[in-house]
Amino acid sequence: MEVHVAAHHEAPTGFIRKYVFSMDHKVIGIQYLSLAMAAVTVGMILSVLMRLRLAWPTEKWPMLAHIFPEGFAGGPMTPEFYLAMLTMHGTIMVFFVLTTAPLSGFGNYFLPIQVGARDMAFPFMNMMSFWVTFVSFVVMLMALFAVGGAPIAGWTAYTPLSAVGVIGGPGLGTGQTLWIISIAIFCAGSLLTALNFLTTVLNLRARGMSLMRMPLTSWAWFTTAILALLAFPVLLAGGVLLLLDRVGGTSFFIPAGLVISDRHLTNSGGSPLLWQHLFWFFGHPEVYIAILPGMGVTSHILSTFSRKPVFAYKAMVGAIFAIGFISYVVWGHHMFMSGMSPYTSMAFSITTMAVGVPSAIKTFNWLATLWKGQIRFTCAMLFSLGFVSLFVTGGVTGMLLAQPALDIFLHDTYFVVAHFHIIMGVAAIFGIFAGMYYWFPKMFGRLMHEGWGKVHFWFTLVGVYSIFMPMHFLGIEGHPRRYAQLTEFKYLLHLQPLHVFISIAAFVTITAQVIFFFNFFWSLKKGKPAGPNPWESTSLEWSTPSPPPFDNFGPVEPVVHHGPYEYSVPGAAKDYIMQTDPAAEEVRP
Amino acid sequence: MTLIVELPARPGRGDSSPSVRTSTSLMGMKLALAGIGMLFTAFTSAYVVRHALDPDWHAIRMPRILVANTLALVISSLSLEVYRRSREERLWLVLAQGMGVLFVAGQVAAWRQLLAHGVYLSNNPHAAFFYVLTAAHGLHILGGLFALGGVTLVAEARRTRWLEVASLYWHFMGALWLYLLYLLFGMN
Repeated sequence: MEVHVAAHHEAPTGFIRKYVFSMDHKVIGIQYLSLAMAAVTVGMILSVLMRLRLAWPTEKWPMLAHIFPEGFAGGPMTPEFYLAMLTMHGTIMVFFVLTTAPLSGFGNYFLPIQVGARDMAFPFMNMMSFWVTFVSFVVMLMALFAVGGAPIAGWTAYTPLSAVGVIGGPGLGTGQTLWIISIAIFCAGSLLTALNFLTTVLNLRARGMSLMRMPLTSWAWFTTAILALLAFPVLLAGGVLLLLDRVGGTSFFIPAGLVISDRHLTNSGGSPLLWQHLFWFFGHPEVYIAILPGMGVTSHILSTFSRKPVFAYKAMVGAIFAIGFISYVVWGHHMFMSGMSPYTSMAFSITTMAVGVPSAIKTFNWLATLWKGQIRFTCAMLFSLGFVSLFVTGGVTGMLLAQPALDIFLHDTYFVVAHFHIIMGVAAIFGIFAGMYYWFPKMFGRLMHEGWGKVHFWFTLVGVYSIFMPMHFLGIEGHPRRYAQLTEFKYLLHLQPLHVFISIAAFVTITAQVIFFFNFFWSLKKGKPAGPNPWESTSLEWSTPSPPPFDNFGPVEPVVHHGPYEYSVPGAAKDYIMQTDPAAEEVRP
Repeated sequence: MTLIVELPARPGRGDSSPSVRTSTSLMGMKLALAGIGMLFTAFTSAYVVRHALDPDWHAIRMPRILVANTLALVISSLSLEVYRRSREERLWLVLAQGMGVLFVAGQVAAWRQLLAHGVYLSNNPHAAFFYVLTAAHGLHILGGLFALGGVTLVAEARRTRWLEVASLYWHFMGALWLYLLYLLFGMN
């Protein structure tokens, strides 16, 4: 059956409408990915600066002092500048990389195609969401270079420090205000994205694309969009109140009797913990906003490259939803040390450990998907396997930290830094890399270089474990996080060589990312032509040319006849059956 | 062996008939309202927690004009609904729009009254929440007025869609106002 249709908006011809203010979800996806690449570069530079300070606390860096005269006043980096780097590194990475790339970047490009839509439900709003996010990033960069310094209150902007203004320290004036404004704008952009994703999945699926035929990537983006839709408004509300505390003279978060630098504040009655509750009610789902798309990509890629259906597809869908749901009732585990009632912390501890159940379902299903598969070790596959490894490593420490008794000791130590970097930072980055190697040929029509990709993979895998595994030991020894220098404490002195090791590992790993960037830009021009389906995958994006035409599918309306993971079906002519393949018989019920 | 082709009743993307577009836009609006609902839920939880930290909480008296404002918003919602169902008498739409504008003017008047009495954002948390919640709601109302204006201005082919989506939004904003009024002045 062929149904001829007209795309709901015509392909633009001018440069501005085509590439800048584009309403095409594919262009917008690439715009988001470019934004994330710019952001990750900034974020990595900030982490290099921090690692220099931590490994060689007294060393002077004349060249850096030349670039940041205030930050290196008196020789080594000032502790305040270190805090500013820490704050901006966390903020940029969490919002502009880990939220932007996996959800808004790949999701924008591939969600509509995977469900058989010609574009997002609201293309104009989609364009708006990118440019709003772009403005947010620009404002965040302004905070980085603000007069008086960048904010120092951490990516969590804990009150009252973030609320009291410039008397609290450098960077808490203009820098912190810009930070809050940037985050508020970011919330708006993310909400628009979430609306589009959800409506597209609910209303624009192609004929035959029932919900239970959607690829797990689409399920992951769908669930993530629900999380974003319900979590970002809470951060927005908190941000509005925080901004008013700073500029409107209110006391939502500033308690009475606060004395800072010999000045007695006139505020009264506010609750710093109220901010923590609002922030973490957003903040914990945010962690899953970063990681769920990686889970979806991993499921998709493991199945594709082991030439087997995803093991227990329905359980995988259920597990994604369970993780998403539970993520709303665990926020208190970030606040075990805030003096909450032991009964409350017990409840949060139990809900937190409950996340382990769907997580284990996913992990074992991934392993079962690999079991006896005909595994093809492509770069995408390697990064997905790396994702599974990191997910387990980072997840296990999550179970430890979920217990209040242990958390009292480990809280605010490097153990936590190790945990969240592995689970939400590096694992999510591995998901992004896996997606990039997998979808690059679809987006640009050429394959990335597999050899260089593998070099990149091994450097990165060994590198990130070398960086973050030793941090567990730092934490167990009681090394607090967030301090630029703790060399005055005897019990930490013997750990200094570990800091040197971590820093060197970090520099090597970051340098290895040059291989990726080189491979990326080289492959754009010189990569092998990919053809429509280089990986012999089944989902809808592989049924169209690479890159797909403006309306994704040309004149023919896609009709879906199969589930997403019909690999190695007995009796079938090939070892995969495209979702759109009408001729092949469906063997599985 | 049979070829199983399970086709949902839902039409595909190619069917971009007005009714499909309306249902898509309505879905988008329902989801947007879920997000807006979360925004005000967060404000509510902040309100409840902050209220419980009692010492500096001085309840402000409700400005009388809010009664008239509320009435205007209710009339606006009702007349919009009459217009949506009958689609005959344009006057109902104009009434809905006019009452909406009146509501905004009334809210501004309420602010001015409070300011004239020396009730500022920084006076006490109850006043702060009053200003924050009415401002947040007011901004959403302005968006709604823009949408109601669109019902008049858009081409005939798109009018039904605008009307359906704008009505849903407007009724939600009306209900939200009743809730906020209760939260601010009914719970004490």
